[in-house]
Amino acid sequence: MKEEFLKKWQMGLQIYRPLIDNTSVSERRKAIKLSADVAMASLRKGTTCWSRALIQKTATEDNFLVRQMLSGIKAETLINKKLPKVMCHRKIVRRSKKILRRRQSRSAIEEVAAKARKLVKKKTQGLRNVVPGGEFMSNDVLLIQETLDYIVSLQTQVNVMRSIVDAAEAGSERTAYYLGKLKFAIEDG
Amino acid sequence: MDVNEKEEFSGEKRNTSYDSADNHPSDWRIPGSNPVSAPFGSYSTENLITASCSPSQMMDSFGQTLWYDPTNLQAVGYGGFSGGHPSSSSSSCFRGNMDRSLEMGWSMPNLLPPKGNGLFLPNASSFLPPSMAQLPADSGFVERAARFSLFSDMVNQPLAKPESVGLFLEGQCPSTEVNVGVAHNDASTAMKGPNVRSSEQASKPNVSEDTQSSGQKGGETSSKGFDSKKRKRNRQNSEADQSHKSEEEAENNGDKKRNDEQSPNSPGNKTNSGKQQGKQTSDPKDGYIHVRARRGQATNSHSLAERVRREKISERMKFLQDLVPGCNKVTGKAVMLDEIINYVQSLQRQVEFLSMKLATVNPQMDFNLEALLAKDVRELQLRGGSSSATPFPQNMPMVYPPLPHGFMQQTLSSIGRNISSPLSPINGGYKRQETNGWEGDLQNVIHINYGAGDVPSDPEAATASLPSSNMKVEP
Repeated sequence: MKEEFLKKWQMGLQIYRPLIDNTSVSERRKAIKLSADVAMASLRKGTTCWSRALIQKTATEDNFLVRQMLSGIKAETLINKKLPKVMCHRKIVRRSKKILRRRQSRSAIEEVAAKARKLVKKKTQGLRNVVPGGEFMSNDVLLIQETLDYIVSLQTQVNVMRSIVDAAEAGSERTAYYLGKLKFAIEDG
Repeated sequence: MDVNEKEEFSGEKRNTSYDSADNHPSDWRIPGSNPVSAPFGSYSTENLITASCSPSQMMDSFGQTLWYDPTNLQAVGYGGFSGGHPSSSSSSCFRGNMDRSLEMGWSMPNLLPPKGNGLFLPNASSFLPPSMAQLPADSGFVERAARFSLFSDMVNQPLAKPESVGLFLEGQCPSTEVNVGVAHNDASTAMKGPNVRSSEQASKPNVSEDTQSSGQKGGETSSKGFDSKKRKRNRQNSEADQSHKSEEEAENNGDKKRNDEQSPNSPGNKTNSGKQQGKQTSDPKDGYIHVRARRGQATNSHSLAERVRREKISERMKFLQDLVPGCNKVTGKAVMLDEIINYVQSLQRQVEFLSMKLATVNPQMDFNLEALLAKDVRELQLRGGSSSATPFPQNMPMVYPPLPHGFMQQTLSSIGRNISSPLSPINGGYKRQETNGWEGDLQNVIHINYGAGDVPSDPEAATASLPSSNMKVEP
């Protein structure tokens, strides 16, 4: 999994390399992040909801990259596919629930249970906000599944990136030492 | 994901091996913990397959439980997996199949065993030790068990695990039912030989008839016996199921709220396991999940469906618990969801931070895959103290910073600033050379570092390559 992600990510970065004039750090970071995200999402080949949502999100920012990174028919279908219109209109739901709730009993246990349920609902809503495409997941089961997969992919992504950063920085330790020595030597002398 | 995949396959193999007849994921519902390995420990460790990787440590426990489904799918080939696929594909297949084959997946175990009991033993392993001691061989119970429709439920279950079934039953029901179930199990196992299916099927109609005709007491006890577990039946048993179900519903009409399911039953996890067992026996053909109402619970379709849904959610939450570090002690949905949200957010922030770091570290953004991977290896070697003559990465020449001499002052000033990260990419390559030959050669280091230190401050200069800098760097 890691190697595949790395390969795809490299592919994405290759696309950006010709644009070597993106000298600003933020642009580079954006390029890195976008290509990493698309690589991660493409690994799932559109089987998961969050990957599709992520690809579509990045397609709005950089269609070219997405098209290049995804090979074949998949790219077209994924990009052009309309987002599922299962967006829950929370306000409407809330209002209707309020109307229904008026006639409900107010026992203590009921209230506690209702509060617990409300809390859980809030948290799931928070989770939907975090997970890409969470808004379109109609049921909780799907949401949690997607979260699982998303967490796994994020972990691979973080591991790969961290190992690269560590490898890139590995040389710095000794040179830093030498540089420090040099600096002091120059300052003293 | 290596470990994850390994455990996938191990779980799959484990199922196949001990299930003799079928690749039955009897322990596929194990909630997060790995007690499964206890009885099947021999399988788990031995059958580790070195598949492609996946986030290892996180997925270890998680993979062991969660991936039984895809592994079983894989084993059976229903899920569309191929045995030789890298783990990523299998995991992705799992994901892809997760939804649409969820129902199927539930029934996967059912698919696999052509014969066997309808009961699954999700937590068989965990229940195994305690139940073993308590297996009563009660002839009276056996007789009663024979009459129970439980028998028909067990049709689709592999009989290879009578103990586990007994265990499961035990965990599920109050003692009486447990004994009944266990005895029933024994009876069923005793009655059924290796040819489970034929005998089961032969006895099934008898059992169903008996159950139906057994009148109040027998029917009641029988229904109670397997009300304690929620099962999903095979289509073959659908008729029997419906008849039994109607009986049960008649019995259970008194129960209303589904919240009561916790109270009348033994601990929720046991019922959960029972339900899981039942779920696993669902029929892949029709794609339905026949769920049996539990004892003391509402039996209308809505509450049943809701209960199924909640069980699914709780199962996945358990997997999440394994995945998210530090979630083991947390109980309760809200707190765990909170932790999950925080974890996901932290991961996302980490990705951003790392990408930012990479951007600053490597202005050219030429992350050479082989070079980087080789670097990792080399780094380990270097840190170990060995100065191996590592091959110079191909991209290093490109990375050589152009260093007009005029920049020396700038470099000196920037050295203090940019000691660590900006120098890293170039130094990565340089360092190899340093360690190779210039350990104590400050002079060369200075040259190199001049070039290195120059890069972050003068990215434009980097594009203008200077042969002099190259000459300095090369040994």
